[in-house]
Amino acid sequence: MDLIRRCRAGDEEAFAALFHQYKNLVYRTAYLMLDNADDAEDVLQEVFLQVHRSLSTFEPSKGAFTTWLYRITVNHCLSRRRKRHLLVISLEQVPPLALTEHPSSQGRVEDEEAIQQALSRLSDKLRTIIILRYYLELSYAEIAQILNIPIGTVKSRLDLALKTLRQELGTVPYTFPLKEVAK
Amino acid sequence: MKCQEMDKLLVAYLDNEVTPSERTLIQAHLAGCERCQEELAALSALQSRVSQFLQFRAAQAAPSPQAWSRLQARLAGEARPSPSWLPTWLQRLAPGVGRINQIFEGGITVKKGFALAAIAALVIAFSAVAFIPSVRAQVIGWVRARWEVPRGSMEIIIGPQPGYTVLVPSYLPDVIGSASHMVGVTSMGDDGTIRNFFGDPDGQWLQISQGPAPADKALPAGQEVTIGGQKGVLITGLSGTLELVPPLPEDVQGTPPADRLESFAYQDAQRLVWDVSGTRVEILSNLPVEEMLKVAESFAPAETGEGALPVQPSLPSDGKTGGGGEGPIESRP
Repeated sequence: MDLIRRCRAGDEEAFAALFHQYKNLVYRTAYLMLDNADDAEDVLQEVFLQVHRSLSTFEPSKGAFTTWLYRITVNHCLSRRRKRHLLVISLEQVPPLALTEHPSSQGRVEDEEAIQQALSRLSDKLRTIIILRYYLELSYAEIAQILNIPIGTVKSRLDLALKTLRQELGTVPYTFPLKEVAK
Repeated sequence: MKCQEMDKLLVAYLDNEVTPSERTLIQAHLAGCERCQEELAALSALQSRVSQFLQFRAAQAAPSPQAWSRLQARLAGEARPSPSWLPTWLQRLAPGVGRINQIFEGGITVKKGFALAAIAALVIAFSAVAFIPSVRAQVIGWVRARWEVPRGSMEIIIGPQPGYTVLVPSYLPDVIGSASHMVGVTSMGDDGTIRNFFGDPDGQWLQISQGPAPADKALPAGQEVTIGGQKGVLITGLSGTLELVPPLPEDVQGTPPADRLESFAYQDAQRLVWDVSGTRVEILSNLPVEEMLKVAESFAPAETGEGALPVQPSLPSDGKTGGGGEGPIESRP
């Protein structure tokens, strides 16, 4: 919080430190939401421009800085996804995602592609909630705050998202012993 | 608890987001229900699979090493006052823009008005006849070197020069000019008509069309208004469909996103038509009439301010004319 206080006081070194502390989280969240490295790069810029402009309005009493940061990130991503519906063309073809060769097997790559495709077919709402929960590992209360929705809606949306994914991906083999998951 | 009720709680149970009493009920049910045990295991495996995938995929991605220097440059640009000759709406859309008066390596002069309009609108597509890839590549490189243009969203097509005075508004309502919701399209028809679409199809939007004022064609019927001392016509209560798909030259590379918005239906829109300096201008918008009139009053020829602010670059070597542009949307004339 000291870093935030220093940033709010106009300390540019503190702002640089803040950027480097959170750049990966913001970039990777945007990358997962937008499926495009260039778009993620742009969102990273837009998010921190907004943070720089609006840090004075951030109220620590109303929630954590990260919650505020994630909200800005998600809003920029959703706005960009919306705009993307209107994009006409890409002159420079974005190279296909280079899935790093994984030592395990070709099956692993196919599995990743299947999940990727299933995720990309989800609506923006469902995809967002999946990323907030299973990438950022946020609690339902934090997700509710970021998306400004009731916790009950978080529950029902996650339930729907997972069940939609399961339908897309087909039967999932039983792999986890119950005692590990029934905490 | 019945299996059906259980089904709605299993995801939250796995996420440790149920109340203690719900937990007790769920565990009691699970102890005696093989079907729900299997359902739980399947959901758990799926969660794990999704989570592992997201973590793995994210770990492969990292921002570019230039991210901080880019941000610093943009922050510095925001702190600097904008050049006074830029219309305010262009300043909003192309922050950090400086003086443009650049000679291209290939002998093309891209003057500031055109390049700014291109960037501001995010798209310029001249339904091109003269289409020169090498020129386009130069223009793209030049524009990219100077602005933070989203990669993958730029298009530049070389087209003919309009034979009339192109006008730009110096006023756009904040709701239209707001960068976060801004979507711009410029397209040019074979008849030289230029259309710009601004705004949000789900919110407030504005389409400006302009072309040569037909000497033999009177203004359409409607309520008479005065715009900058000129007679204009206002037509209200319009509904219809606005096309957002541009005509694209055959050799343009790239595949448009399958889910792009090609058109949208509108209701309760207004149309404002008037002639000025030999140009017929039309505004179609769902903004309040007062706002549309304010935008209309602010129209001025693009060539204003210090130095020329032309709308077209020219190709002196072979007599062809060139244009530049980039970006996201368009409307078919």
